[in-house]
Amino acid sequence: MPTIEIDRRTLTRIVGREIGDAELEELLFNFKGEIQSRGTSTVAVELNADRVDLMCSAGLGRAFKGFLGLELGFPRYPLAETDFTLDVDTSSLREKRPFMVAYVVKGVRLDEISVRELIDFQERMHQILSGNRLRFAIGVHDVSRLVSHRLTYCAVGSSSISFIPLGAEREMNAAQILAEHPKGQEFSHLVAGWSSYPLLATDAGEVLSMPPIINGSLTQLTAHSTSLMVDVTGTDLTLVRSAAQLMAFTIAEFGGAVAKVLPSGAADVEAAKPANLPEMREMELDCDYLRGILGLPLKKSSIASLLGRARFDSVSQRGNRIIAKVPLYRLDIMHQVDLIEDVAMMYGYQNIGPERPYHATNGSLHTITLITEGARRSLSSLGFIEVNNMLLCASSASFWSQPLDMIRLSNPMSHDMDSLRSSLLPGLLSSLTKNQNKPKPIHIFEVGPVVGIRDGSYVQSYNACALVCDNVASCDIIEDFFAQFCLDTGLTPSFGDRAGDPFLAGRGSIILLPDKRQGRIGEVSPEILRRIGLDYPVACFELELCLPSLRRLTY
Amino acid sequence: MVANITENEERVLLALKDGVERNLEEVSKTTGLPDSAVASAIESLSMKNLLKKSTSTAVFAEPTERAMRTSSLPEDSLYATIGEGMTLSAAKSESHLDDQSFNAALAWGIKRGLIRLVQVGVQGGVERRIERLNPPQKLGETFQRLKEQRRLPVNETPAELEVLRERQLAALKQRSEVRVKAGAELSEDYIRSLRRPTVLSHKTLVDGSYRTLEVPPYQYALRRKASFHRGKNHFYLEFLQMVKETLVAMGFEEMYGPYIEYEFWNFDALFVPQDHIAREAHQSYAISGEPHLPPAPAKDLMRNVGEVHAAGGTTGSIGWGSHWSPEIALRLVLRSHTTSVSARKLGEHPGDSYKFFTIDRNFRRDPLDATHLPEFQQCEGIVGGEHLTFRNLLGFLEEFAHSFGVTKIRFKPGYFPFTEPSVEAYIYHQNLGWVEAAPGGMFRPEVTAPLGITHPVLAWGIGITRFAMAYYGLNDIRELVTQDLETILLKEEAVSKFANNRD
Repeated sequence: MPTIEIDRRTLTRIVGREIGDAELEELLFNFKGEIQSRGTSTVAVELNADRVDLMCSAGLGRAFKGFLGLELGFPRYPLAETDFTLDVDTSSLREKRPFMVAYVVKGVRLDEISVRELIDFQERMHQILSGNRLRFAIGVHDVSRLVSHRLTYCAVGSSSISFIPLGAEREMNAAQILAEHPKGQEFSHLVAGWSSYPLLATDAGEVLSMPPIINGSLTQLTAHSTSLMVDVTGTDLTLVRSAAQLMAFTIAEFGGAVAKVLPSGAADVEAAKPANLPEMREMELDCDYLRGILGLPLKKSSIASLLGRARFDSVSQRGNRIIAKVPLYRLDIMHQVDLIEDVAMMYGYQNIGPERPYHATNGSLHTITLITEGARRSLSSLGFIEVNNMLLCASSASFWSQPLDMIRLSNPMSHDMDSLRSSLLPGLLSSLTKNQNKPKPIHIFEVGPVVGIRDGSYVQSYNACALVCDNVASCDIIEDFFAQFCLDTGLTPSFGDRAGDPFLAGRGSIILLPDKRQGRIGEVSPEILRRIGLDYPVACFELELCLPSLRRLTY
Repeated sequence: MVANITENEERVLLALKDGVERNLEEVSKTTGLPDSAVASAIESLSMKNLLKKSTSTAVFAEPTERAMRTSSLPEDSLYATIGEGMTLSAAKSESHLDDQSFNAALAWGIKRGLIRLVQVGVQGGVERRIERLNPPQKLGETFQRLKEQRRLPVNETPAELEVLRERQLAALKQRSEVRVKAGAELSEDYIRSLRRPTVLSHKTLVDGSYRTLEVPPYQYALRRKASFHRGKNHFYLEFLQMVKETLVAMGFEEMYGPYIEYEFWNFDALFVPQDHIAREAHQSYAISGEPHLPPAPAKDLMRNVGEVHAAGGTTGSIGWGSHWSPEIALRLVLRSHTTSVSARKLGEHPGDSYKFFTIDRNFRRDPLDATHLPEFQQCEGIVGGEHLTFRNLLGFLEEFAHSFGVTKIRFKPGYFPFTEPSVEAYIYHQNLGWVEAAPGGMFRPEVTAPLGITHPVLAWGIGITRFAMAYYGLNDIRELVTQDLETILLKEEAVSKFANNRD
């Protein structure tokens, strides 16, 4: 889960009043967050990844104002008109990053801290929503220094690009930026193999950015900037529109009027009118469905008011229906259940009384559990200590031939966990090596799953393995335990061929069980004992207690 | 053990009852027991705290074979036999020494200043005579003591013993010496009382001697012998078993699924988008090779799920809006959560009113440390039926927590790709404060609809491993997979833990 740093004074400025420590903790709790640590004027906050819009002081402040009832519905950001225009040359960008959406926010009041927070917020959006600039890239500019307000976004050949990128002292061309500039090196893989690169510039030749690599220093954002422009470029128009709206409206929390930048000579003149901002999706909410899901008898008006607290505007329809207006940036709202959760959050999870339903069903343990339980009880009562080893294991520990082909991981974390155990014995022998200085005899066992491949197909078996370690650990000793174990668990095995690995020649045997289940019993060969560093003889048995099959979808 | 001490031990104690410290040989001489019997009696008595044993190392001189053949030092014999002013030849015949010994006696006598040779002018020339000087002292005495006692500590007469060693009459040996004394002055009566039977036995019971048996009172103090020849179930597996029984009592039926899994059941059917971070190679394990895992997800089911991912299908959802690849869905992974088993169970269309659970292993590419295991258990539950609500989910979680003895629980909004609304239940633990215990939610319509489920399904997946750690007060999660048998033996039975945690 992402952790973000929140400046308390900025939060106070956005909310309009001080929020104490306890209140902040409570508010965050209701928005799936918690305080990780406190600085002098900041707090580190951990939030869930679903609500990127909350991941800065301005976003949290906007949500808190709603929860506290200080502001309801979508924020009434002042809307402006702008003489900035943006033309996108889609044809030159088709195989690259064909979409761009831009907003202008005028009259913003920033300071050092809010500028840093906005840049952090932008990076967080890149990480969480964009796969680190893969799907979209955001640029935030100070446009006050631009001579021309006529912008073009198009792909340009490398040699025709020359500007001073952020963090550099001199003009560089595209090839130089990709080869020499730190950001160019970091993100060059996103434009690898391209002969021309996307460029955002004015018709006066002023370069704002070379998306998704770097902005120009001409439009660098500072604490004194008041006229800002947000541009978002990318490969997915829905994401581009959402990200641009989120960035623009987050900046608008610091004051200022918002305008969307439209194409020059826009055919769609209507869209240029401020009243059409902000763009919303409409989603129908069925109040009966909501009541059914939550189990709360909420009135339609209460639901509308709770939606308002969640910062949604809504329109009441006939019957049980409400149309909620969902800002584009609320990417987490996919279905009306998502609105229902927001309503529940505003209602307060603490206020939803838990209610045990009458839902009578018969409980039962699975046969696998009953069978393994019986084996566990038998072996512990026979004087064996139970060990709990992992299914993940080292393939190198099973160096003798195994009853099932081992399943290996293609991306293991380490050599000692590079596969899945196909037998319990190697793990138990390993446990024994760690205890061989203890008083003998040592009797240990494990009952649990093993997996592997038999005749090309996946097998999941539940095995029992018991092992005796002593100065002398011979066939007759383990046979005695095995015989009692079979009586306890109702097994009627027969003995098949002599077993080779891992036993001493002539001292091991195959165990045959119904349903093609198998096992082995015998004295472990001294070569194996020496190789794993065991100084005492071991006799053991292992068998397949239960070999379930996926006749349906579960065992 | 019938008596506190054996007969030999009794004899040793009697020899030491005056409280004087003695060495093993002295005790052996007094008791008439062979050295080995004394040594084992001393060992056993010192373990019973009846005597104090100390061991010291010292250098001793022992007579050589040559010393034993020599009755006295030759120069001493010579000194004793010669008269005043005896001639050399008279002295030789008087002393009965052979040539070699006589020469040695002369040389050592002169060297030690016992005698001297003088030349006296007589008729016809010069005559050699022996004159006695000082009488022999310490060396001869030491030699005689060495022969008598057979062993002398070097530090008492170091110079003399060094001379004897040079003359190959003494050998120096390093020996450790055991010295013992009674722990306190012991009365003979007390020592005799230790020999009486103090434990009821088959023999004392049958022969009637139990009537005179004097059994000492025993002070219990939880003494425990470390034995590994005893049975014990593993505490963590017992804990999981108790949780299973709790759920069965609440009406839940147990289910099991495969550990290797199609991404389809692990992710796609749960509406986890194909570009979700949890699906990247650094998060979950991929399977090498291509084991056959039948049955593969049905074609129409795959189509329904793909449509929901792309644009919401028939659910009213907008979907993820991205391309959905059936090839990715059919890749095999090691399951990263037991929710895949719930998805499979729903795919079986289990009816219109049911409760299921599973408690089983899951795998994530977490490095092994005190708080992470790459393999851990989840307790997964689903409740399905018409009219089930989010309040009911909270009710189940609350009841489940109560069965663990948890009384304080609070609910926080949560986020999981497959549930909405989602919740994280926090429980109050007296040592740890509020602990995140039970994440859950209602399966999204995007999950249930493609599987053909039309009623609400409540779901949760508890990290039962962390629960067990809190329950057993463990600071290191690796203790749950310990290979140290002593650790396993020292743990309280899970059933008792449950009982002790109840109000």
